[in-house]
Amino acid sequence: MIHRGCNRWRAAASFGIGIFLSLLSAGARSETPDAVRSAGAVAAVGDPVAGERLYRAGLRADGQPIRGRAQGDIEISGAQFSCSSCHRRSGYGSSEGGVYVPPILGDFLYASSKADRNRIFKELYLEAQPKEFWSKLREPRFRPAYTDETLVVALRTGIDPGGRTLDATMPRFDLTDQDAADLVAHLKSLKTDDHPGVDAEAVHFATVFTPDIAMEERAAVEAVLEAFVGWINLDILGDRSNPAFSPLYRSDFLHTYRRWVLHRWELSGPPEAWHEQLDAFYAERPVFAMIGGLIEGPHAPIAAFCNRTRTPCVFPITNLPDNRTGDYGYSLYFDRGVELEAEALAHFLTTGTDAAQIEQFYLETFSGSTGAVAFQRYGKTRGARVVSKGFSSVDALAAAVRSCCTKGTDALVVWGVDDPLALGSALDAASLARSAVIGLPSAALTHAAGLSGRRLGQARFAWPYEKPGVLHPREFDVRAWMGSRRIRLSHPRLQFQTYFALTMIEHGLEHLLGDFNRDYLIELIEHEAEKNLNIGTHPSLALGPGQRFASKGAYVVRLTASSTEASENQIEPISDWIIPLGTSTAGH
Amino acid sequence: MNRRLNTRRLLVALVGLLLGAMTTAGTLRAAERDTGGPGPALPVQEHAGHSGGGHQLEHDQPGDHGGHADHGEHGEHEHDHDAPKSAKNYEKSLASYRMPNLALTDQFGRDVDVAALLAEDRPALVQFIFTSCSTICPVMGAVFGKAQGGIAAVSPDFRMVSISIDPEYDTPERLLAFAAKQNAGRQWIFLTGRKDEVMKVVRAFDVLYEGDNKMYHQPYTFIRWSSDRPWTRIRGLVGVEELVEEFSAAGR
Repeated sequence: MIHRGCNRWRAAASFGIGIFLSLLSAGARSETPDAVRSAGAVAAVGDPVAGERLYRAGLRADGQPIRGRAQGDIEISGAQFSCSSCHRRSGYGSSEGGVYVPPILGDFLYASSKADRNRIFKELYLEAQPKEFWSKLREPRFRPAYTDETLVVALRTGIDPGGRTLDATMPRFDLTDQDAADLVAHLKSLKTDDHPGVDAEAVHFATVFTPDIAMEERAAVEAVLEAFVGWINLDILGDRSNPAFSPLYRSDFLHTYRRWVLHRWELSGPPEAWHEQLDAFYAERPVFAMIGGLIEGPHAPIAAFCNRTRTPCVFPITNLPDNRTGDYGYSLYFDRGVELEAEALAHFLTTGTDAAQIEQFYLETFSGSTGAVAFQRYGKTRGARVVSKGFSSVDALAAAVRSCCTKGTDALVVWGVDDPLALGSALDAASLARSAVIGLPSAALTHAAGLSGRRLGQARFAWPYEKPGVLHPREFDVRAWMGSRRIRLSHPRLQFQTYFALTMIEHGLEHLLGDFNRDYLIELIEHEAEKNLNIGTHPSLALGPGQRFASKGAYVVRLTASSTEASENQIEPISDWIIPLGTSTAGH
Repeated sequence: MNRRLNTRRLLVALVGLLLGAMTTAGTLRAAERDTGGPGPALPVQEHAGHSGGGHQLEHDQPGDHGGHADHGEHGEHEHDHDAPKSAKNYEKSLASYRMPNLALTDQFGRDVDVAALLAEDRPALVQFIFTSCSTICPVMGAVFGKAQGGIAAVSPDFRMVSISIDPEYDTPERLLAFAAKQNAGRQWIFLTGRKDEVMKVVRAFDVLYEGDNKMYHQPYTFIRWSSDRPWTRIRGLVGVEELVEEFSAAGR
C-alpha cells in the first residue's frame, strides 16, 4: 500500500474542506455582457483538422502563428506556445507552478459547470501546490454552458458566459472568424469517452516479449508483473466488494476502479514481422496501455505500433529505443540506450585531448550499427578522428581486431559484440599501446571478466545506470515489497525497472480518476515521474511535458582490478555523469 | 491491517471535517466581504505591492520566518495601486542572498561563474525556468523577451539570467533554441549545468519546490539594481509593463 495509502491519507484529511464546496454557489452571473457579445460572431464553417493544427502547433489556417496577449500585455505568438502547451493534447488541462489549467474538452465546455468536487479531486488533494492555488480552486466558478458564440468571445476577450474574467495567464487571442470556427470544431471533437482497452469491469494492459530474450530474465520480470497486478486487484476487490465501508470519499470513486488484466504479447520472427503480430493482438484485444516488456532488437516496430494505435508504451526495457524525433511519440523510455552509451563514451574519449585517434569496429546488427553511427557522429563534433569498419560476423570482426591498430591509436571501440570473450585472443594479439583504451557498451560488461588481465585493465564501459553503492530511499520499500512476496531478486535492475513501469501506470490511473484517456495518461506520467519513485536503477528518472527519456546521461566505468568474476557491483566510475551535448536526436 | 487503517482513516476524516467546517466559514466570510466585482480577493492580491510582508506567503504559516533571517525587510516601495482593477497577481519582497561559488554553462556551452555573473556592476534580472515546461515558463520567457526594450530604456546596460531547473534535459542547444524563441539579446544569459550545482543556486535564491519535482516549481523573478542593494523577490507571473515598473522601482 506504500504510496497508495499515502495519497489517500492526505486526501482523507482534506476531504472535509472539499465537501463544502458545493455550498458555495453564490456569485455566479449568468448574463453575457453586451459589450462583448459582438466579439463572438462565428460565420465560417469550422474545419476540425485546421483547428487541431491551431490547437497543437499554434498555426492559423494560412500557416501563420496565431497571436494573442497573456498577463494583460505580453504579446505572444503561436510559435512560442499554443493551446496544447497548457491544456495539453488531451484537453484535460494541467496544473503547474500554481496555475490551474482547466479541461477544455467539448463535453465540458458545452455543459454548464457543476459543483463536482471529484472533478478537481486531483488538484485539490493529490498535488503539492502553493496556497493561492488552493484558494483559487475553492472559489466557486460557475458558468452556463458555452455556445459556439460565447466560446469565441471567451477566446478573444477572456470573458466567460458567466461574465467572469478568465485567468490572466490564459492568452486573449486574435482570431479570424475562420480560425475561431476551426478551433471550436476541434474543441468539440475532444470527447470524454473512454479510450479502447477499458470496460466497466476491467482495464486491459499488455507486456511485450520479443524473441531471443533470456528465459531467466523473462521469469524474473514475470514474477514482478504477476505479484503487482495481483496486489492491485486484491486491493480493488476489497474496495468494490464492500462499498459501504468507505466513510467518506472512497465510495465516490468506486466507479473509477477497474480490475487490471495483463496480457502477454509474445512476438516471434524478425522485427519486420512484428507489425502484423502486434496488430493481430490488438485487433483481438485492444489494450489501454503497454507496461514494461523485454525487447531484444529494435523497439521501433513496437513504437510505430503504439503511435499508430495511440497506445501509450510505458517504459519498455530496451537498448534500442525509437530515437527519431517526432512531434509526439507514445513511447516513454528509460534512456536513449546504445546511442546514449556511444555518445557518452565518445564524450569521455575526447575529453582532454585535441584530436583523439580512434578505431571503431562494429557488427552490422541493429545494436552494432546504432552504436557506431552515434559514436562516429558525436566523435566528429568533438574533433576526434574516427575510422569505422563494419563486419557481418564476429569472426570477421575478430580477425580485424587481431591486425589492429595503427600506431598512435588512442582507443579501440567495439559495438555489437556483447560477449567480448569472443574477441579475447584477438584483443591479446592486437598491437594496441598499453595507454590505449578499449571502449565497450554496458552489455559487454557481464562477460568481460574473462579478458586477460592486461586488456581488462584497458577496458572502459559506458554505464547508463546508477553506480554501485548509492542507495535510493525507495529501494528499501520495494525490496521489502518483493521480499514479502517471495520474489527472488535475480535480476534486480530489470525487476526494479519493471516495478517502476507498473508504478507509473498505477499513479497514472490514480490521477486519471476515471477519465480513461490515453493522452491524459501520458501527460500525467510526464508530470509525476519525478516524484521520488525511482528505485535506484538510474541516478534520476524524470520527465516533463513532451519529454520521452527519463534518464539523460551515463557514466564511463571500469571493472575494479581485483575482479575475477565481473559483476555490476565491481565497477567504478571514472567519469562524471556525462550528459552528451547538442545531438540532434536527443530530443523528444 | 485493513481494519486498523479504517479506524485511523475515520479519525483523520473527522479531523478533516472539522477543519473543513472552519475553513469554509472563513471562505464564506471572505466572500461576503467581496461583494463587488467578479474577481474575488485573493490573499496574494492583498499582499501585492506591500513590501517585505509578502514573503510570508511562501511559507505555510504567516510568521514562519525561522531560518530566513537573511531576507532583508527594509523595503520602501510605494505601490499603492488604488483601484482593485490594477491589483497584481504577484507578491514581492526584498531579500539578500549569498551566491555559491560555482560554474554553470551558458547557451553557447561556455562556463560561467555564477557568483561573478551576479556580482556584475549592472542591474540584473534572474528567473528560473525549464524549456519543456508547458504552462508558466513560456509566459516567463515571453515577459523577459518583450521587456528587453523597456528595460533597456531604463538602463541600457543590464543583465538577464534564466536558469534551468531541468538542466539534464536543457542542454545548451535547447537553451539556445528557447532563447531564439524569445528574441533574446546579448545581455540575456541562459544557464544549465550539473543538477546538484543548479540546485545550490536554487537554494541560494530560496526557491526550492516541493517533492523534488520540478513540475511543482513556482514562477519567481529576481531584480537587483546593483550588487550593494538587496534583491527584489517577485513571486507570481508579471506582465511586461509590471516587470519594467518593478525594474525601475528597484533603481529608485
